[in-house]
Amino acid sequence: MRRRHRRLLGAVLLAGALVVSISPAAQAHGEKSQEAFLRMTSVGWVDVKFSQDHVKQGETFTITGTAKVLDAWPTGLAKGAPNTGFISAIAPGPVVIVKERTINGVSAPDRIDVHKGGIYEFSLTVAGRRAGTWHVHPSFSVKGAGTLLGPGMWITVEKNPAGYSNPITLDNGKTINLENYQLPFTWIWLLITFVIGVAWMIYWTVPKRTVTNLAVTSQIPLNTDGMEYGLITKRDHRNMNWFAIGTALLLVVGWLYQAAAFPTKMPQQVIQFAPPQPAIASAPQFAKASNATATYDRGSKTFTMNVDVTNSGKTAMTLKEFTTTNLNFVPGTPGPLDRQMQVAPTTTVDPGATTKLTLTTHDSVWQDEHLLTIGGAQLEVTGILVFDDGGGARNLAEVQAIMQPQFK
Amino acid sequence: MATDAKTLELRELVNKQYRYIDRKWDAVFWITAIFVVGAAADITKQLFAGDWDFWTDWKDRQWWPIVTPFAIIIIGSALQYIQWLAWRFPTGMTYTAVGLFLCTFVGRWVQWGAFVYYPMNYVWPATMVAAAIFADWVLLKTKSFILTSVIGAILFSVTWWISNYIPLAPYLQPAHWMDRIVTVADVQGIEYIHSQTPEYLRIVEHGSLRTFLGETQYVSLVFGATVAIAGYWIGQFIGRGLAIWPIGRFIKRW
Amino acid sequence: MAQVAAPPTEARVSDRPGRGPIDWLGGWRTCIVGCSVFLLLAIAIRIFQQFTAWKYGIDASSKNFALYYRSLFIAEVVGVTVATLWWWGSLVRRGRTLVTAKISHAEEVRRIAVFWGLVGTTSVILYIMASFWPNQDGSWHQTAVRDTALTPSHIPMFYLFFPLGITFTVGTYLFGRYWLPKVYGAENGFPWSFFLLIAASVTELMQVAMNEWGHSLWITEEIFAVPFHWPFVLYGWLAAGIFALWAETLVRLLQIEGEIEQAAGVKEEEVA
Repeated sequence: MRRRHRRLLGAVLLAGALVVSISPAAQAHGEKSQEAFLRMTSVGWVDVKFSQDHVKQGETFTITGTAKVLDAWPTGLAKGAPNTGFISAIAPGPVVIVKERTINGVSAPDRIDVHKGGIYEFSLTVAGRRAGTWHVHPSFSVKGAGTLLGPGMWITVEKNPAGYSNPITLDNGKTINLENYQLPFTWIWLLITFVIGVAWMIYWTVPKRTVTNLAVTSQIPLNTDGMEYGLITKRDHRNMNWFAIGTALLLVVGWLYQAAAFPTKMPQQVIQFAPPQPAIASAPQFAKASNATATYDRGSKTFTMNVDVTNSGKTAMTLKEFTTTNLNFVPGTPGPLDRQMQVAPTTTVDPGATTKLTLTTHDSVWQDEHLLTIGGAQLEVTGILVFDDGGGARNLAEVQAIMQPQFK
Repeated sequence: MATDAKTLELRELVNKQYRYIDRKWDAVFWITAIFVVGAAADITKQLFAGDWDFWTDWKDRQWWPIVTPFAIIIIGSALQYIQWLAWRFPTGMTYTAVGLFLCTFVGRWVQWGAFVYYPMNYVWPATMVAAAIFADWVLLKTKSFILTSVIGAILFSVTWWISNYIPLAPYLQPAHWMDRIVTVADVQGIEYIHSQTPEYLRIVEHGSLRTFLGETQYVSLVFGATVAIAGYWIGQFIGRGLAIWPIGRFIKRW
Repeated sequence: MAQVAAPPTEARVSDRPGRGPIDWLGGWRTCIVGCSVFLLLAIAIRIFQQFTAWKYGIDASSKNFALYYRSLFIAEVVGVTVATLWWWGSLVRRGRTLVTAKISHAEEVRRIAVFWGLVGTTSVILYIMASFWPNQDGSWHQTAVRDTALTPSHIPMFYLFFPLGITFTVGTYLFGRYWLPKVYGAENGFPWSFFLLIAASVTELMQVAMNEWGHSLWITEEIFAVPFHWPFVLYGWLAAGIFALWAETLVRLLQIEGEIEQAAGVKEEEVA
C-alpha cells in the first residue's frame, strides 16, 4: 500500500477508535418543538426539585415534585380520556438511570392508571451512569399523547475513581452487575451460532462454483437436486446431516446449561395499578380561578395574565407560584428552577373574596420556548396557580387563559 | 442403466472451464449481495418485530415467539427459492441469517451501544442462524418448497425460540427491586431509560383470563409456527414474483 | 481477412497485466471503488454525529443545530442533486455515442463486470439506507424527543442515502441501457427488473413524507413495529428485482462464452 494510503487509513482508524470515548455535553431537549397546547394543557408540574446537581457515577440524587393531569386535558388527545401513564426521567439516553420511583408514597415500577384531574406526587431516585454534563427532566408519558417533559436541570456526572457498576440483587441472594451481567455468555452463544452459519456457507461457496451452475440448473426441474450431474453429492447430504446433528446437539447442550445455571425463571412482569390519592387531592378546595385572559407584547417581552381568583376558605390565601409546562414563575426571589413574576394588586386574597389578579412576567422565555406561536392551532395559556392558606394547606387551581394574540 | 447423452452433457457442464467466468464472479456475487439481503431481512425484522428484538424486557413468551419468526422467515424464504433455483444450493435461509446477524450486530454495537449508550446485555439481538440451518436442511432433503414451508417453517420457529431462549434465560431470573420481585430484564427496562418509549408501550404478556395452566408459552410457539408458514409463502412470492419472474421480461409500452 | 474496426473510444479493455476485463484493478475496479466510497461516506457521517449529535442535535430550534445539522441537510440535498444530474447526464451523453458501436467479447465482459460493480454499489447503498441508518434511527428516536423532521439520524438516512438509492438504481439502468444494449437496449422495452428496483428506491423516498406526516399527526410515542412504518418494508421488497439483474447479465455472460466457443470452433474448421 502506498504511504499516503497508509496514513489515510491510520487516520480513519484513529478517528474510529475515538468514537466510543467521546462524551459531549447536551443542551435542552427539543421540547420547544412540541405543540404549545400539548405542553401546557396536558400535564402540569409543581415544585419540581433536584436534590443536587453533581454526582459521581453510581451515586444517586432525587427528583421530586407533583404532576397533575389537568382537568383542561384536550378532548383531541388520547380521546379525551387519559388512562395510562408512566413517570420517569428524560436524559440524552441512559446517561443516568432510574433506581427507585414512588408515586403518592408507594413504589411504582411500571405504568400507572391515571385520570383527568389526577394528582401524582412523585419521587425519582436517579443514579449517575455516564460521565458528562446532562440536561435531565422528569417526564410524564400518557398513552395516546406521548411524553411530556417537566422542568429540567443540568446534572454533572463525574467519573468515579472506584469505577462504575450497577448492582442489583437476585432473588437467590446473589448480587450482579447489571451493566455486563452474562454479556460474555450472550456474545459467545451468538458467535457460536454465527460461526456455524458461516461454516455452512463456506462449505457451499468455496469448494463449489456458483454462477456457472446456472448453465445446468436452467435445464433441470426445480424439485431435483441434480445429484446425477454432480451438483449435489451424497457426500454433501452426509455432511449437511452432520451440520444439522451438530446444531441440534448444541441446542440440547445450551438448553441443559441454562436449565442448570438459571433454574428459577419467570416471565417479564407488568405492574399496573392506580396509586392512592395524595392528601392534596382530597383537601378542601378553597381556591378557584376563572375568567382568565392573557396578552403578550413581543416588543417588551411582557406576558400579562388577568384572572379572577376566588377564596372560599376561612383564612386568607397567598399565591405562591404559577406553573405552566416546564416553566415556574414565582413572586419574589426565584430559586434555581424558577422565574420571576409580578403580581398585582397583591398575592393575598381575603377569605370570601374574589379578586382580579394581574400576573406579569418580563421574560423572553415565552418566545424562546415557542409557547405563544400565532401559527399554533390553539391560542390558550393553561397552567396551575398554587395557593397556600397560611395553615399548611395547599390548593392547585387550574387556570386556562384565552390568549389575545397581537399580530404586529 | 446406460447414462444418456443429456446427463453426460450436463455433468460436463458442471465442471466446464470458461474463458472469462472465473471464481471472482462468485466472490463478487456473494459478497455484494449479502449487503442487500442482510438489509432487506433487517428492515423487515425491525419494522415488523423490531421492538421485541431491541430489548430483553420485550422478549416475552406471548408475542415475541409469534412476531419474530414471521418477520425473519420472509426474506430467508425468498433467498431459498432464488439460490436453489439458480445454483441448487440449500443456502438461502442461512445466507440471510448470516447477513442479518452482521447487519444487526453492527447496528446494535455502533448505534444502540456507541451512539446512545445502552449496555449490550440489554439490547443484544436474537439470532436466526440455528433456525436457518434446519430450514435449509429440510429443503435439501425434501427438494420441495411446499414441504419446506410446513416442516421447515415449524422447525424454524421452534429452533429459533430455543436458540434465543438460551441466551435470554439469565435475564428471566427473579430479582428484588422496588419492593417487588421482577425479572432482571424488567429491571434493565426500567433503569436504562428510553425516554420516548414509555413502559406502557410494551406489547408483552400482561396477565390474561386464561393461562391454560401455564401453557401460554407453548400455545404461542404453535401459533408462531403457523404464522411462520404464512411468512414463508410471503417470501416465496417475493422470490418468485419479484426476483425471478422479471428476468428477461420487458415493459413494451411505458 | 476482414478488416477489424478500430475499437470505439469507450472500449477500455486493457492489455496491461492486472487491468484486464475480469481483473480486480480492471473490470472489477468499479465494484471496489463504488462500494468503498459509500461505506466510507457513511462512516464519516457517523463519526461526525458522534461528536455533535447529543451536543447540538437535540434542540432543533437552537443556533447550533442550524449550524451543524441544517447546514448538513442542505449540503446533502444540493450535493446529491447536482452529482446525480451530472452523472445521469454524462451517462446519457456518453452512452448515446457508443450504444451502436460494435465491441469485442472482452470489452462486453468488462462492461458486465462494471455493471456488477454498479449493482454491488447499489446493494451497499441499500444496506446503508435500510439497515445502518434505521438502527440508529430507532435508537435515537426511542431516546430523544422528536422535534423536527430533520433529526440527526434522519438527515443522512432520508435525505442523503435514500436519494442515493434512486441515483444508483437509475444510473445503473442508464449504464445497462447504453453499455449493454444486447441485454438492456431500448428496443427491448423497459426491463421489469429495473422497474421494480427503481420503484423500490422511489417509493421509499415518497414514504418518508408519509412517515413524517404520520409522526406529527398521531403524536405517537416511539415504537418501531407500527402499521404506518410498514410501507417502508413493502416498498423495500420490490428491490428483489436486483436479483434479476445478476441473472440477466449472467445469462449474457454464458451466451458470450458460447459465442467465443462457436467462433473458436469455426476457426478450427477453417484451419483444418
